[in-house]
Amino acid sequence: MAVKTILPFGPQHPVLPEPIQLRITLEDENIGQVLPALGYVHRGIEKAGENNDYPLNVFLVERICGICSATHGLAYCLAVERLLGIEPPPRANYLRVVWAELHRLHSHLLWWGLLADAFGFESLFMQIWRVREMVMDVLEKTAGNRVIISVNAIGGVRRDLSEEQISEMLHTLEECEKQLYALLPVMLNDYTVKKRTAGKGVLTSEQALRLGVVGPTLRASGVAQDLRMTGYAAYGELGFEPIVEQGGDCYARAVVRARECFQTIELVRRALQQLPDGDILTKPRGNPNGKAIVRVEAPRGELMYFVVGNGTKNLERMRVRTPTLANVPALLEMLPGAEFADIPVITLSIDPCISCTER
Amino acid sequence: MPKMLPTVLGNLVSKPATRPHPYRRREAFARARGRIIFDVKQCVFCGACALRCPASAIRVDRNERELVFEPFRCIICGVCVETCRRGCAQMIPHYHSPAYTKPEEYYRAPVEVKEENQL
Amino acid sequence: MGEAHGPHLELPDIDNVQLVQQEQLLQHVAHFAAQGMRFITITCIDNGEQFEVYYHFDHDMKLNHLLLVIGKKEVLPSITPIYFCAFVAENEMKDLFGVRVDGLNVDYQGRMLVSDELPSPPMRKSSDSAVRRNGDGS
Repeated sequence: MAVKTILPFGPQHPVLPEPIQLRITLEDENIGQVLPALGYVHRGIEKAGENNDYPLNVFLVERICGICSATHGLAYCLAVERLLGIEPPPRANYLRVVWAELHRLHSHLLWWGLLADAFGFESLFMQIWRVREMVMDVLEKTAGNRVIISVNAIGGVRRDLSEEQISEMLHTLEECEKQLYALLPVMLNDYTVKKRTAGKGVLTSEQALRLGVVGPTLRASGVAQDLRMTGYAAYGELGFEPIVEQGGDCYARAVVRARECFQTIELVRRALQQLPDGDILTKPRGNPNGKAIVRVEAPRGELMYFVVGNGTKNLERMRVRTPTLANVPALLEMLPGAEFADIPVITLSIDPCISCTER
Repeated sequence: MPKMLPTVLGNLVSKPATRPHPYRRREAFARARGRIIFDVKQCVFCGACALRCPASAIRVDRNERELVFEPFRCIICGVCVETCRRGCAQMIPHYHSPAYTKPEEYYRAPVEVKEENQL
Repeated sequence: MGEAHGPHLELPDIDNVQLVQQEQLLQHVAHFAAQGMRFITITCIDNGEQFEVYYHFDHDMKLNHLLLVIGKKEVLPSITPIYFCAFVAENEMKDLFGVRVDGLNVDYQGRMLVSDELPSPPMRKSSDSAVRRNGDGS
């Protein structure tokens, strides 16, 4: 006879860097029903975006989520640029790709470290974060900050890269790639990693599409959807191919992110090699008017900005749909049927970012 | 385990990846966003920086010829540095040290010289 | 370089909008679901007098939108029977705008993101403030 227990998972839990509560109904060791409770870090950023001047909003949206701040800034700038009818210079487009991809790299490495930590592989966690630290140093050297780098501005980017910085960046990425290659057999083939991730939290491609899942979680279920395929900024010129895995389980998601790390390094390399000369900023003129929707690929998946301007320096509405908001409903189908001990790994496998979710 | 072996052996002989922070500090990167300082001799108190500051960390009083800066409100985005045409707002790569209170920084123009000129 | 310069502008903009009536909403959504579209989100815009509710769907990386304009006191039918995942967006709309949504599968009673002490939905505008804003713009 199964014993029913209602268990609050979170809002404070060792595997959760941010507060979200999952109210889990357990039947013995198995998970029955799951209900998320949100609202611990709601800051009203959509509302604040209506009161700020539109150029200042760049700094606001970067603070929606630290880890994907470059992508948030990029999406907002693309949306406002479309409303203003201006086009950033080509060099700015390439630099945007460079910084957005570096952000993806450090975000994926952060996630890999957290995953290793979630199933108790502390040594792998520290090795991966040591590699990540090199990326953080590159970001601090070039953009000035480790995480919230604020390089995007409406009409282009705010910082340029010198020749020495480019060669230094390429050198660091090479070193980073070498160290990651050394860790790759452990990340993908280790007994502990496979035992804890393979076959857990399976999501088929039909389920994934029906649940509106985005990003690496969607691509791990065999759906080749990556917004970088649409070629915003300079992605159209870099020969981007999405990375797809068929498994649909936590292991497939981990593999997608590990492969994306290498792809990201390659994309940055290509962008730096093809970097055109010229200006980095087109001065914005006038006030935004009209409606624009921009979707970009954040490290966690599709990020959508719906910006409505009314001809004044304030925006009428700024709607942000963040990737985790789309991935949380998937947890409600992935968790039931799994075992109690797998909750941390499955929850982590969607790369939850609660600050994003609640804005 | 054998897959981790090269890494493990490498770690045995290599230096630690971390450093004992307060005793040995890393030199700040040249382009790091450390903090903002104001060279008030250059300032004309136009207030452009205060207007553009996303965190409202700068207040400028044109009549009193005074600039008030709240370093603990500042997000070190550097917009004031880009805005300032006189080179008054500057970014230095060294971070502000932690503090128990959040004091404001007052910058006043050397008033006596200016007033004589105006009169 | 020529054709590749700024290809993001070729993405379908907010053109692909289909205005629907309240009664037909669920039919349209079911039609989209039958085509295998991925639900993205719902955007609510308060234009002072009415709510403009945009439903965003993705089909092979192309956007499709449904637009529904309802009065502030009208009740919106929930699309959660068709798209289960829409409950997050609908609850958020309920929290922030006070839109009345009927038939939610997971109902947080307007308290998913905001706290119990909050007196009124924070993003709802009173009708005179919207008039003032539009007056500035034109």
